[in-house]
Amino acid sequence: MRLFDYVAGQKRRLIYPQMGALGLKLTGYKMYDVYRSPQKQLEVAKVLDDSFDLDFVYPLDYGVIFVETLGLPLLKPDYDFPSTLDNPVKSHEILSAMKLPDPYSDGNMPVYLESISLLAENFSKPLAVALVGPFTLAVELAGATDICRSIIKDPVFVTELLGFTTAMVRDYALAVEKAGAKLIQLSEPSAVMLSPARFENLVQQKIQDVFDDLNAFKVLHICGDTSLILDRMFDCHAEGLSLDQIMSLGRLAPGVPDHIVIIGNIDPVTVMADLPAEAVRTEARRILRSMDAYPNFMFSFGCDCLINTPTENVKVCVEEVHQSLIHCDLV
Amino acid sequence: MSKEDILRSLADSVVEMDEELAGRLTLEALDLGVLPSEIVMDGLSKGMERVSDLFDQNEYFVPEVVVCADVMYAAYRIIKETSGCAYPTKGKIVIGVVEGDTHDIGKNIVSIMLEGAGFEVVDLGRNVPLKLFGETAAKTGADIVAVCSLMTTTRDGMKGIIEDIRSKRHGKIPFIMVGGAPVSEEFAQSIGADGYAATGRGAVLVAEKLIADKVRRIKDEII
Repeated sequence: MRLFDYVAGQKRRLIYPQMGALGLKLTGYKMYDVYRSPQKQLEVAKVLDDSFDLDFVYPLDYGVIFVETLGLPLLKPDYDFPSTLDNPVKSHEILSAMKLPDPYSDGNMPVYLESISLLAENFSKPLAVALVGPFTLAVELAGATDICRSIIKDPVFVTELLGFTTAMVRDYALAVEKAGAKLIQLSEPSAVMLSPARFENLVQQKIQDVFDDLNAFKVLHICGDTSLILDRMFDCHAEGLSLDQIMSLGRLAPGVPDHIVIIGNIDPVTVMADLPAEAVRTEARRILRSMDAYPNFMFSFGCDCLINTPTENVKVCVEEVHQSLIHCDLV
Repeated sequence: MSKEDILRSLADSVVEMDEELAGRLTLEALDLGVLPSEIVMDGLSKGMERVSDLFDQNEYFVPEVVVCADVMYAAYRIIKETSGCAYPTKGKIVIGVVEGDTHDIGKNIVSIMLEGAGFEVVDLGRNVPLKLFGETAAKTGADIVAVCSLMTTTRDGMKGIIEDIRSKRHGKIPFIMVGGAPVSEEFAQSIGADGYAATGRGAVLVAEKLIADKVRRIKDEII
């Protein structure tokens, strides 16, 4: 079954929120308590599901799992997502000394797989897992500014680096699928700094390489202004495109192929975190109305929710989405 | 080559990302007796202005801007090493990414654009402790502090930086501008920032306006 068939086959709209951090707020657990414990992952997923009646189940997003496994130093706040402190992979020599990790034995990768399996066993709802895409992983390894230099001055290095990251992401995505994920999202926020032509070479082809080996629903998420690369995103072999809140879904929807699900895009900051519940409801309703004519639409946040997002705002949002019907004559 | 030709070619070399040519032309200009400030303002900065235009027109993207800036910096180094001369700038800006946030590409672009436009930039990097912004501004006599955040979860740290700087414990109070993906004009106003920019070019315009306001204010006080 394609993601479109799954989404359009429902009577009502689905919501696909990126809100794992809220699970920390609801349980009081620290980020790494959850990352290191499949049982706590399950607890967080249950709390989120009980609190918000979601359409998908999620483990807490582990965006740094690849760089952590490769030994990069990380900033690890207790109640926020970790991020890389250094980007040491600057040369062919450093890269060639790196070993492709084994998803089943290296770093915390097997523990996360165990968490995914546990969630898949305990929920009948589809399990969605987000991973960083090959280009963004390359940026994390080499550093954004240095990879920009290499793209122009040392393209062979970039090709080699992307070969490594694509293999790493593909290996893990396959293991995640095998562990029970029904939807795999690749996130490529760094892709917005590229021209459409470079996107095609450095992002699109690599995403295809990963997605073509998967049977799960395939979603591509890119934050920021994607208007210049949107056409190329259609060709990434993704079944769903998750877009930032700055993109006008109603305006871009007519140009999106019917079989690709548009996912988005209430503002997680200026609406979800900052406004009162009724204003959130109004904004959710506005987005839903703007997409009324499109069965290939799934509601979501433009990006991750803040940990301090009022739970009432999320409840109101989910409620509003679930009251929205898909018109049968459109499918 | 005449002085004008050299400066024009120097600007071209920045746009064309030709570091070797930029170096040669910079030395040629210095040999000819062209002032370092002219090389910077009428050659290198003119080139970076065209790079900014190309960026705005979606002809150039972030990688091209980074490499063009590298060419400009390489020429700066030659000027400094050869003449030992400091050149006049439009103002001094302390820039950094708020504590807890390690994403710096946006900040790097803004920094490049500001330097290209003729500002002196003191780059504190990423994950910068709150108090370091005010302390560095006081130490360097900066006119502006530019604070970036790329994560929704760290943007609130900007408010603390503004409060720290405005607490006057650092003496002279610089202007404060903010930017980054999760930051909006409304948010910037709500935390009391003097300026907000969504893009590198926007940051240059805001910085130029703040400096112009400052100059105007000083003139008014004198009159």
